[in-house]
Amino acid sequence: MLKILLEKDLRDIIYSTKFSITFGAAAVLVLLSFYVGIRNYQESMREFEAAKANDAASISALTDWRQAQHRVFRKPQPLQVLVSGVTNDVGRTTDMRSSGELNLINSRFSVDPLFAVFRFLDLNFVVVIVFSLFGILFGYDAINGEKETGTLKLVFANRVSRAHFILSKALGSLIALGIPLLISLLVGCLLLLTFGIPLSGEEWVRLLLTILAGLLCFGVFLTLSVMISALVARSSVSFLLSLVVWIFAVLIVPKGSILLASRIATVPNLDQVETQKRKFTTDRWQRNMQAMQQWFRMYSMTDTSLITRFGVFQDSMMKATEKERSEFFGRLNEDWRNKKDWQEKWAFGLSRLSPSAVFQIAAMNLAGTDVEMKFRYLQEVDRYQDTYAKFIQEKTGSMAEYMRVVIRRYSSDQSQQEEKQKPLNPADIPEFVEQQRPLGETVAASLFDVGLLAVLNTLFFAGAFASFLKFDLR
Amino acid sequence: MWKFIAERELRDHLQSTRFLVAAGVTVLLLVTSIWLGIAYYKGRVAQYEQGVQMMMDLASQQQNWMSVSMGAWRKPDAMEIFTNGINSDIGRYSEVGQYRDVRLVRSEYSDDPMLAAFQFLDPTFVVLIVLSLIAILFTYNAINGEKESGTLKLVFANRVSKAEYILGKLTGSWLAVLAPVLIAFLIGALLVILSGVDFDASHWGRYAILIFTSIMYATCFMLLGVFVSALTHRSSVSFLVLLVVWICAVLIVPKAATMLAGQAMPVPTADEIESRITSYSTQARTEFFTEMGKRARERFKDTGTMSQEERQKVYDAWSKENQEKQKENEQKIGEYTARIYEDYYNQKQQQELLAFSLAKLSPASQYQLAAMRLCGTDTGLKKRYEDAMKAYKTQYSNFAMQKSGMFNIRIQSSGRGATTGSMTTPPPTKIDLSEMPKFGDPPYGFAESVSASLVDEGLLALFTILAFVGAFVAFLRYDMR
Repeated sequence: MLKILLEKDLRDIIYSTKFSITFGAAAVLVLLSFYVGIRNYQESMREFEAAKANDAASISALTDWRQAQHRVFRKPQPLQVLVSGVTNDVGRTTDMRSSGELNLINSRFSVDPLFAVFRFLDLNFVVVIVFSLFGILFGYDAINGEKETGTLKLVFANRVSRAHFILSKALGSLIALGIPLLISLLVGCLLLLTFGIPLSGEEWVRLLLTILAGLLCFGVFLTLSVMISALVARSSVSFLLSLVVWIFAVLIVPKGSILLASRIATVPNLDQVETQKRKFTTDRWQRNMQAMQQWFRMYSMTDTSLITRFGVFQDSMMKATEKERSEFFGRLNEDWRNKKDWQEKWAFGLSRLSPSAVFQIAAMNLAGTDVEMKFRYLQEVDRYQDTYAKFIQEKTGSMAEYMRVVIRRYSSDQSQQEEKQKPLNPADIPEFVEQQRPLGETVAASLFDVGLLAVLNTLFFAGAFASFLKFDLR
Repeated sequence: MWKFIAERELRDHLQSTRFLVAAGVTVLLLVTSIWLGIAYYKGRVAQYEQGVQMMMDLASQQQNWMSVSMGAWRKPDAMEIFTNGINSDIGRYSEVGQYRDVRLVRSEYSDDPMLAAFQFLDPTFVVLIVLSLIAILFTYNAINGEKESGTLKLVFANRVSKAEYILGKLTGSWLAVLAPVLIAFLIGALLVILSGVDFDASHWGRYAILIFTSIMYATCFMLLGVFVSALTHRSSVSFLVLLVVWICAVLIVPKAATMLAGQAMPVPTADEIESRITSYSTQARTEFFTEMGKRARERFKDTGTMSQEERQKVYDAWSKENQEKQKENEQKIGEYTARIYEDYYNQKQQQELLAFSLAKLSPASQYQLAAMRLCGTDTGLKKRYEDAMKAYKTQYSNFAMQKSGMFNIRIQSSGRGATTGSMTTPPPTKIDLSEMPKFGDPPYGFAESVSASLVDEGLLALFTILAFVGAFVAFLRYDMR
């Protein structure tokens, strides 16, 4: 019996105009989002390579490593363009220095606000807005629509159990709609292959998990609206109810929970931290100037060793300042991060009331474009800073040696020859390679949310089942 | 007669569940979004004031002007409550100083990626997405639905002209959809007044135009709904057609347009521009220092035999010469930078023009662009602030150069291996911030915003009129049977 019902439901859906139009729209959007992602990735890759080449060219025009203003760039990741998350608002460029705090600048949207106006059409957007609407559109009249057209009575004139009917209804919609969506998503993956987007095995796993989460998200909205359809007698009412649920889930809950969290767990704004840092820097600068003045007073007249000794003095001073700075800044940053973490826990915890937010959190975690992305990347550049500082130290020696060179250059005619120095070789600089987050960590971070989506599916399905058993067939 | 039809239509709507739900959603969403907007705006104002205050406090604690580091903050404007636009994507602050290029950094979203994850719910977004959906929901069965239920034949059994009927019908639905919108915006205005947000006459004027534009946008989609409904015979078909139209207009066209323009007209990246400027200025400064060394050797060639006083004189003349040369050199770098940036901005403007021209095929983008420009959160916001900050940079560095005095380390060898070193820093002075030139925010008031949004408003009006004509004509030729 179940089989016959299932076949009927599948046929009903697939032969309807509603199906062909909505499925056509969803498939086009999915493919478009993959295509846009691919073009975006290629474009960002081109920009990334150009930026690196520019950096190398400007270094090779110099002759002294002290003048080098090396920059490192965040490498675009293929998954980041499919689920953009916060990636376009986090800086991509870092001015590398051997000391001092590093910053991320030139985020995509701050450089090209043009793209921030309408944002990008990414897979995340398609799932959150379109898949969810799609689910509601097919679920809202699943039960009460049949009653209105009179087919419900006809079905139950035969010996059909209610359980079988609702089971076939829910399964039928899930299969009839889920499989075409899955196919369009897989065609999208095929596009990735044909355009030669380099995806590692781990990235494929993450992408497939994202697709699974997307389908689950669709399932939640479908089962939810089937449940509503079994609770309400008229399909026009259930459509409106589902639409209200959709508006809350997609638009209000995620954004509202962020605001609520910032009320519950207050965090001092970053400007305060920045001011403390700036105050520290200017204070140290002033103190160092005084120390230097004092030093000159003490050693006002000596032999030629003055220069070297001044250099040594400067070296030790700079080293001490940098140590103090990194400790102080580190403490400030950690303090702030701890408070922020707490706030984010609240915000995302609250936003999980909405299934589409649950999907988005899972997808961002899988793509590595979640809110932690900025801090993870900053840690990477900080780690690289040590390597770079060592390299510069090797190349330039200490301040003391440098002072001697400068003095010699300014005081003798030998300098004429010295000026023709060899150009720098940018290939000497150790390369900056961002370490990928291990697969286990990403999957673990998203597992809860994917699981939650699965649980919601079962829950709403059970709800639909229970309410249909009590549904008034007349 | 049409008045009677309008009344009937309005009554029909008001009694329906559809109206109750739609009106509830509209009012709730618009009011919530305005309330959220006010909350965020107030937070931003507090942050802005605190930022400026902290910068000034720090500056006044310094002992001389040389150690003052100055910056300029972007001031929040109350209109961003209604359209956040690119406000959170571009930086809020730029350092200002002689050797620093103006660059807006620390955008709200980069400071706090948590906000970027779900973005803001602003009234423009609600109108753009939700109100247009509601408009379609109200009109997709305006004509063919009446036919399906058989009421259309009944109506025309009376002596009613088609023109009167369609006009009445449109008026009735129009009032039903837009009354809640108007009410929500009025509650929003009340919230603005009660919350004590800094709102002047220019703001109220722009708000009124924004309300007008929002209503026009919703009208456009309503008329489109009637148009499609009068072209098709089954309401389920017209609903789906409209849904596809909606997806294209709201989701696809705007995003595809910017992507296409980005590919058709590639612009050099910011990194490329910056590295070009950096290599130019590094080279110019290196050359300057080499020249300085050469000049020093030239000038001090004969100082060995001079008296202390004469030597001081030569030294003073040399340092004055240096200062002038340096000024010249910095000016040269400044001119080069300005030229490169101008070129860059011209290219970007071309790209933007293409992108927006393509996007304007959709009424959704027309509305969004008009709203952003009215509220001053359009793409021009960045350029306006950067220009103002660049002007301020010149002002401030001239001032600071006068004030800061010289910092110098002098190491001299006075023959026979003996070396003397000394360091001079400018004497401690009282920092009087009132002497300092202040940063003035770029003006963007009523006249600027309205003239900037005029083209988009005009296009939207044109689309609305076309949709009206379409709906009208399609109904006149509608097959009643």
